Amino acid sequence: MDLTKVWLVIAAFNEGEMITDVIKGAVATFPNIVVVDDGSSDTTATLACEAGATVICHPINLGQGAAIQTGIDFALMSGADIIVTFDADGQHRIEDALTLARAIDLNEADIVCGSRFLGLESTTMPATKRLTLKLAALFTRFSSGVPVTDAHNGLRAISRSAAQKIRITQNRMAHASEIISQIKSLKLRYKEYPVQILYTEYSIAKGQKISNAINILIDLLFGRISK
Amino acid sequence: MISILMVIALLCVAFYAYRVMAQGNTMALLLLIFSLAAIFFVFFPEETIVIANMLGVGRGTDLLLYFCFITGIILILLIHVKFRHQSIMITELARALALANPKKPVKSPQVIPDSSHSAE
Repeated sequence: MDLTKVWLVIAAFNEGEMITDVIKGAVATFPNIVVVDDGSSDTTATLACEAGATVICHPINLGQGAAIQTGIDFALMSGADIIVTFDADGQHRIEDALTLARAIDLNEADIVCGSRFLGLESTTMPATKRLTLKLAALFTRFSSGVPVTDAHNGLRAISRSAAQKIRITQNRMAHASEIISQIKSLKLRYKEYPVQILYTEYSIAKGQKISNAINILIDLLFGRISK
Repeated sequence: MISILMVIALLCVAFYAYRVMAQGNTMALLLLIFSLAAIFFVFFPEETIVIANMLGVGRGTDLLLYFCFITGIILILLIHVKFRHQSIMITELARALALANPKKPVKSPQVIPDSSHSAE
């Protein structure tokens, strides 16, 4: 696999504490990293730049979905053949990102998502989080018809042709479900791989609050009505 | 007293509708007719019962209430759709702006593609 044709897309909002370590850990494997700084008020952009990533700065905070779409646009403009979305808080493992990228390279699917519920269960995952995620996956399975086991995993690999078709319009957190429903409507080949998530105190504090599940549902509902 | 306030408010609406219409927006004609009809009903409220009975509603007041409810819901939905379109446009604008100015890595060996690519 030609790693110079792989782009890592990282959406970051006020991740100054972790971003340097995350990029330094990744850049040894993935030479092309684009960090989309989503209007951070801290030094995320400068730190990411110094750590070896290309940085795109949203002038205002638009949300994670919008930031990922911007990153995908930039990666496509830069000639990426494989695009990997990766979280900024250090919860994903580089080897998992490689596994997903390799699956795209071997043409196993158009889009490959990491799943936390396919064997490599994280021992550090809080029980309430596990339940919410399983319910969210169930909901997505019902509403999209795609048999996902984990709907809100930030680690994905997308082929160039699939990335050109997918268009994220859910600016905030509902983009994960939106991607899944586009897999269905665009008839993309989809595959899941087991991944391990490192739940640290930092990633739990920065991550999705359980209560946000309600907001995601509302976003999805209104997104569908106004389409 | 209340009828004076109502008439003043409705006259303002009618005047505004007339101005917009004069600028070439024919949809404002609807608003003009609507506000003039409303002024008529301020002076002859009992006439609303004729329309109410036509629609199977007992009292004109009830008809007004239902009407306000439906209008309110439709307005909220229209505003929501409009709001969503606006936020999509703002997103596109912010994205184009962001993509036009990529910051290259400070010390990295790899070649960054030509940044003069214009954002679509």
